[in-house]
Amino acid sequence: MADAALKPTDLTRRSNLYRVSSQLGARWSEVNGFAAPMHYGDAAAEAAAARNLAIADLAALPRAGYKGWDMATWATGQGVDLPEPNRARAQADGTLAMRLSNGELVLLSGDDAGAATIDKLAGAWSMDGAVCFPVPRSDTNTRLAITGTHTPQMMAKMCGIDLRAHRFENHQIAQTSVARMNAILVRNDRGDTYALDMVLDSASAVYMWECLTDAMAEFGGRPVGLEAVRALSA
Amino acid sequence: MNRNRLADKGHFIDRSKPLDFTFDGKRYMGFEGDTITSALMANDVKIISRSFKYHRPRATVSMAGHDANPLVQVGDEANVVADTRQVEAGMVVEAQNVSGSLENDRMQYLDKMGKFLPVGFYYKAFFKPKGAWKRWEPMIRRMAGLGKVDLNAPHGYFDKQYLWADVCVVGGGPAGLAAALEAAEASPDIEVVLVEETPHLGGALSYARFDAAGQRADAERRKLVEAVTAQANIRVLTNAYCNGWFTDHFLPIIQGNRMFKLRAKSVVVATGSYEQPLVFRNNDLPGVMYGSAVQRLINRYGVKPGSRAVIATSNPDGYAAALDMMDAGIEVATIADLNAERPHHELADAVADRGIPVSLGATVYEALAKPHLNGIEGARIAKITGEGRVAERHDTFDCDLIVSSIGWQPAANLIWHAGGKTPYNDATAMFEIGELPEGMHAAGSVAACFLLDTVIEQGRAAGWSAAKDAGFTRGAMPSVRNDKGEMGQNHPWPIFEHEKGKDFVDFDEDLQIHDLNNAVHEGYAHIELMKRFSTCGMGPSQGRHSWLNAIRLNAKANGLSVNEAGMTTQRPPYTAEKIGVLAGRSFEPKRFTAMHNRHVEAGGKMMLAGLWYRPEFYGDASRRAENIREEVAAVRGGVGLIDVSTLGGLELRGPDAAEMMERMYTWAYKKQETGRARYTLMTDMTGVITDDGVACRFGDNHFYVTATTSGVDGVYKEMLFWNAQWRLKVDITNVTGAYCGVNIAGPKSREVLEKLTDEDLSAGAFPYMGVRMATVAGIPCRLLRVGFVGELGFEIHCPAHSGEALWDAIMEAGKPHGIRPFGVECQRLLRLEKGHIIVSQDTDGLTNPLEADMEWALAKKRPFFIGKRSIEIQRDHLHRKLVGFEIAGENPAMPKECHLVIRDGEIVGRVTSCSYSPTLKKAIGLAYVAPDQAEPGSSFEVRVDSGQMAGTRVKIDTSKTVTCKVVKLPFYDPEGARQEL
Amino acid sequence: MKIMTCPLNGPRNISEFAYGGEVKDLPAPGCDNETWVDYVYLQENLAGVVKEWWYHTPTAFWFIAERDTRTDTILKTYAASEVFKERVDFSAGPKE
Repeated sequence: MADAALKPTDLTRRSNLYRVSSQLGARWSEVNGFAAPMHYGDAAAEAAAARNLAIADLAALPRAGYKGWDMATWATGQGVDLPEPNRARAQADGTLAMRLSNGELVLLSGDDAGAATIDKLAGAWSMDGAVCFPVPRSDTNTRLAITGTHTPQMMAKMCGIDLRAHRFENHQIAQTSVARMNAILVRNDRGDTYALDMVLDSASAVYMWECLTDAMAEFGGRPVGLEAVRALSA
Repeated sequence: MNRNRLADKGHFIDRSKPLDFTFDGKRYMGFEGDTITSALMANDVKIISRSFKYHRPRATVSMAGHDANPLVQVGDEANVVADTRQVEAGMVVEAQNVSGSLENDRMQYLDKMGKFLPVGFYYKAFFKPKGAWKRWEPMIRRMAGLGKVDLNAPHGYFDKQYLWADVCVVGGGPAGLAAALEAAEASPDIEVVLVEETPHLGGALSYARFDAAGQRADAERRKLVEAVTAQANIRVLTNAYCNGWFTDHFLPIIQGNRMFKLRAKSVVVATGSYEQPLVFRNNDLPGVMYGSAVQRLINRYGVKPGSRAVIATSNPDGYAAALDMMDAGIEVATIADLNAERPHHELADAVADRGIPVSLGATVYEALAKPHLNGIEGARIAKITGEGRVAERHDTFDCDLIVSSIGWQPAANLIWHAGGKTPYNDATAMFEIGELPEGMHAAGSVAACFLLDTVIEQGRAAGWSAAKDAGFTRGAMPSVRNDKGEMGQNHPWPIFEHEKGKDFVDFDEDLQIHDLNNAVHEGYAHIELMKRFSTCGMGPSQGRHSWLNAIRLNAKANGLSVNEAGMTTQRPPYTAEKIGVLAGRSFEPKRFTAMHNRHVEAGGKMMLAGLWYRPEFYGDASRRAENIREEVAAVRGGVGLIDVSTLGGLELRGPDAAEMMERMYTWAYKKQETGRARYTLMTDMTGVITDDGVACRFGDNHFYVTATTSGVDGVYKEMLFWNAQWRLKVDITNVTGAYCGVNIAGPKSREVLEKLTDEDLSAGAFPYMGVRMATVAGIPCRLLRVGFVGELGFEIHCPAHSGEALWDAIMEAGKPHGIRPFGVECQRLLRLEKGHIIVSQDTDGLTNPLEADMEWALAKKRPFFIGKRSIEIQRDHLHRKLVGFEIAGENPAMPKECHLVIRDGEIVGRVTSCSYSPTLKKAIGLAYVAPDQAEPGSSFEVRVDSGQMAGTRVKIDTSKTVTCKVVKLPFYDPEGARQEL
Repeated sequence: MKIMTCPLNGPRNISEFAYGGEVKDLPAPGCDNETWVDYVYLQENLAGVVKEWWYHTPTAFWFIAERDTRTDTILKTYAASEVFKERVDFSAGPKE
């Protein structure tokens, strides 16, 4: 539920897109120390867009990363169910474990912002004898969700990877160039709706948002809040 | 009403949708589906353009845009191909290359001056005296040009989109349709894209005639198109051009304002062929056209291009055209068949049945022009007596239409782009496909096949093979009958020179037979030279209609075979494309720091630094210099705050972190204490300085290293490169984006920061070059007591998403102390006062640390760091040295960056940085000078603006030089007392 | 546009990659000047099959490609770890 009194600047942590969302009339809720845009005032339109084509700012959702020569042993030892490189796997608490390479792991929380796995790993890691090291994914990157059936077609205007549903499986990862910026794409369907999560340079969030807004116009895409994204899996 | 419109033909047009448009100011009516040309010809408009050089009246030749004749201006869009562009309601079309009116062009006198405008005219006529071209050029450009560019035209919206397919079939004619079908039938999983440049599938089936009854084409078209449309795994793109072939079957396909970038696994080229002109006197006039053009007009658009025709042909297509013309009510006066023997095919028989007289072994060798060349009124026909020669005796026929069908040139552009070869077959007088590149297949007339049944079988076979290349096989490869037709399509020499000329080989460039022969005789004999000297094939149609005959002429003039004469290289694009299409949406990535909006709100003038936006200074641009000075004063006298988030940051963690540091950087790091920072200097293998920064040691196994904004990606890449080979136990992570950074600097900076943190900031507890993890304004930060600007200061790195909150908190806390944000310009000046170099400003692609006077930063005892060996080798070969200098006087002439240091007329160095220091009240700078000028106290000369260079020696105008005195660095606070407060 | 197969990411447009030069051994720090200059400045530039460093920019991944320079055909690509398996040391390894 949105908190009518909350302003993004009330909190220390701010999405690079908070001004954009404010201008779009976002209603906010505190998530993980951020004000997260929950909706933009038209729940029905957002619910429909989320199935057709929509983008959502998920900067607030927890994420973490670990990288090092023996990440796999350590993460597995911490109970992470680790997939092959360039694949993701959902953990029991809804966290998505994305393996970027043999030695690199990125964790994205579920849409509910549950951080059990992320917190557990943060608590367990120590510099002593470390074989992998935390990567500050929560700040290096921001996260966008792109949802709906037109997603692959729209993304084809910005990205050279074939992301169509029959060519890019759920939980497949593409580390590639999107609108000439490096980005990580993971297919992360919500319910039966095709969805991508984009993990990208936080300083480029405004640029990427503008590119996406432009590219999705022809398909009737629009920004939606976290509630519309959550509703897809409900 | 449309005077020339046929009642019962024209399946491309929709008669229920009439529309109005204008051409050269007059209103005309056309139908939806018409092209500009078809609508104009329906309205009996005879002339569409004026030719490039002689301003001769021109109209359609191919009805397919295979020549420059139909180029028109549509609004602000120049060079629109009227043959193929669909007319729209309200469209404003104008003729191009016209002076005055289209029908009464003031430049038409040029046609009479042909003999004074020989081939290579421009090269010969205007190069003397020196400078003459400058006077002639604007006039020539006005006279001989294409459309007008409207500089005020609004920006269009163009974009690009990737597409993926297993098989791409280019060309929607019978071969392409059959290929797409066969490929698609291989599997429900195969994805086929079919690209067709017209609005409708069908290709030749939508206009050509294959049987006497005239039923076959339509029936086949319906059948094939229906089957293709029903196939769910074929995506059809109409009105779309495949404009080139690029490596690994990457195909740009332009449809409207969008370019699809199609990646296919295999390609079927079914692009058909270009009909070729018969070369004879006045063959360029309105009313002379190809058989295929007439058939397109009649069958696609229901337009009757004349009332009485003479046909010259050497193949069944001419007879097919004759039948279509008669069916459309055009009287066929006679047919001149260039072959000596009577053809044996049903089309010729049908023509004979209708009682049309045919002259065998004869050709049209002259069109009789109407007054002012506004069309034709007759044709002269004579017997052919030898290659390119005719008998003197001739017959004259009244006609308003001359139709020729004497041969075809394969539209093999994509095959050529891909490196495929098409040698000339002397027996068929045709370029035929030889070896095809991997994954490419061809079918139909592009592959020299003109018999419909064979074409369709060939299409099937090509589709099957392409599917196989893409990994889909079904059944055996369809067989193809070994029958390409009963007679040859191409006449070997359809070129008849006339003593009075005007026998055009290239309509685009107004080139006649003797122009090409003259080019060869003048020594431009090689095909590549002839092309460039004569410009044959260099016009808008890129040789589509001219190159076959041009090569034949070249071969003959040189006494070579056509294959020996060879073909010039064909490159993409296949047809003209708009710059907008190439540009697309032009992605220009931008990076904004978390504080970006705070800078803008504070009046920051933002500048680009790589992809980042940084404040150059704050305040009114008209007070630039004052604003920068005030910022300098704030830092030197009070406290200032600068956003340094764009600075690169790398984490090196693991037992070998210090070892890695010592291999990558020039200085020593193993003995660096935890909690301390140390300068870093990076060189490449040649010993050249590539980056600098500071290394913060946060633990035995943990270094946090900064790098320059533009250098960090390269530094990171280089570290990974080396460790891919060295296999040290160290993890290297680029954390540039993870941290926002600010530098709070000035004598009052400690007072301000103390309000926001519990950390002991006193000099004793937190000395200069100390580093700490600390909490500032409730935000976990990395505190670095380093300073680029030479005052007491702290660099604070915080998680990027908290950057704005940190900025706000510091600005708020600093308010009572008069804190002022400062920009990049102020920082550059402050660092110059401290004598710090900026890599790539004060160093260049050759600067080694010895030249930069940074011997102090080189580890002596280590056997290795990147660049060490090269630096040592260069030690005895120093040619320049970086020094600090000052210029005496109140208001000296200020050298600029890159102004030259000159001694005895020789360049010995250059200025890299120079500014007036408001703190020191004098001009200061950094410059490379000769090594023997580098001692403090010596002086050197710098040549400033508007000096002169003469020959290799530099003429010294002493009024244009400034004397600079070398001084010891730094200029400001040499003891470093202020930064160590 | 050419396709290159990255050992980590699979086939990608060549625009995602950067060339990193020929694979060659770093001479011992104590080598003579000619050997060093040859290493730093000169490339073999073979007409034939060469081993080259390539970098997949979006993943910061270095790998090795074998390419026939006569036909510009990429024959195979593999991770650098298949060639470089041992730690390299300068103090213990090459002489000064």
